[in-house]
Amino acid sequence: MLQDVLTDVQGGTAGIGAEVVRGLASRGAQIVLLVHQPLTDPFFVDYIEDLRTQTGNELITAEYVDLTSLHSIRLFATKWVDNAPPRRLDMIILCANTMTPSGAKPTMTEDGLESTWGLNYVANFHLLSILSPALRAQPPDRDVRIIFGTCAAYLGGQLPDFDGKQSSAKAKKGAKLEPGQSDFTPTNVYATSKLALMTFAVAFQKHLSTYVRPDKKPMNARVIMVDPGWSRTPGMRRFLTLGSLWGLALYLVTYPFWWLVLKSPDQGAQTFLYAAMEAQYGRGEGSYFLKECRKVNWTRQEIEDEGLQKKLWESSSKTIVVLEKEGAKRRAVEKKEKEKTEGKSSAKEANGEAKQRKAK
Amino acid sequence: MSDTAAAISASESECRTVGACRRQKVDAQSRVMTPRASSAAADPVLASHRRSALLDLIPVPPTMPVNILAQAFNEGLSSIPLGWTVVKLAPVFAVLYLLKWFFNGAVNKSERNMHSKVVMVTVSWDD
Repeated sequence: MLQDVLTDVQGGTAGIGAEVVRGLASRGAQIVLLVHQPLTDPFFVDYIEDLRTQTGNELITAEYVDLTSLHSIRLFATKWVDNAPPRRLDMIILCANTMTPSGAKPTMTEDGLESTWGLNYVANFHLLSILSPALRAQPPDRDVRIIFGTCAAYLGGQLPDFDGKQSSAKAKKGAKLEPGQSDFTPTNVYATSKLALMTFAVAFQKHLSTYVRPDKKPMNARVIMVDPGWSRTPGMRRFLTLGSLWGLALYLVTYPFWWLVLKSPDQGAQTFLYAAMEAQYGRGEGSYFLKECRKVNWTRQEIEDEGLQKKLWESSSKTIVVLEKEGAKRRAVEKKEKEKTEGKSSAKEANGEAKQRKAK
Repeated sequence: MSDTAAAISASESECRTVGACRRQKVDAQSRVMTPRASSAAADPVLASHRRSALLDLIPVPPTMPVNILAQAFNEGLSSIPLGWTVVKLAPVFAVLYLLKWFFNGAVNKSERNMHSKVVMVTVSWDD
């Protein structure tokens, strides 16, 4: 209960994403924040207002997207794409991620995915898949960048054996795909989600690059992956304190140490800002991996493995199709039940409405 | 005697620097202890003469950096208040600074005109 309250109050006001937003907004960019708190939340309204005043930029807006819900992502993204001429979009920065503290039980998203996997990987996959036409439709002289926030933890990731899964995949729940549901260790799932995200990022660049534009111009959208390093963000704090109060006390006592070895969120945002502004990443083939404001190579070679990319892509889209169908069914049932309960209390009204609907 | 103390404390509350403080203290003492000096104190030439004469007897630590260094060089570190403490703490802070600099990582130096660019951002979930 308390955690929920805190979640809503602090949302977006700390962490690397918030600092990136601040940095870009103060340089005049028009920001569209995708947030999970209700847009009428007075704390959040204050936060946006403060940000506008501090950065002297009125063009900071927020859209409600619950990244743990595939349906919510689809609603937002289709609304964005459904526009002619295509809406201007110069950059997507994917900072949202979560990590279950060690020892904690796995939590599930609305669609039945383990939440680390669901939010860090599947949500981004889903969002970009739908936004892809909007990215590809940008005029050829525009420098479009898609920036993925990743983490050194990807090194320890282990992608599931897709072939094995698919053969046994009468599994109705695509959630079975999600690694380690039986032997859940938060760090492993986190690492795997990041590895999957990077593999997908490279695949997404290929997906963009192979697209033949109607004007035959080269693809102008480029994927950049950013490893911001370790920062004192709310997510890191939650991980270090194991999400517990005694952990928080311990964290406070040992704070000088963390202050020394962990970056401030502002420092953590530097490589993101670099990825957003450095001119050389607006050229070339894309799929850049940046760390400490420098281009580096990834250590895991699977990321470049085209076969693996394809398998991951296919199984993810299958998962999403299955889950979205289930979600749609569930919503339909919920709606019916809601109508039923409402119908009992005010049957006449409902009847009236139904008649009106028929009349139409 | 209580008069002396009162005079000293009164003058102390007004003084700004160590030198000024000393001077005022000495003044107050001399005024109270030698009542006849009040007439002499009215004479500015005489008063300034006495003050400088008294001040020469009291060692005043240097307050400017170069003077402090000169004193450390001439008379040793222990002649400076907290001299050794400062010397011992300096490397600690230097190491702290270096560590902090190291762990802070690189700073972005690239700038680009971001005006009118539309940026979509998903922010961290764990806030």
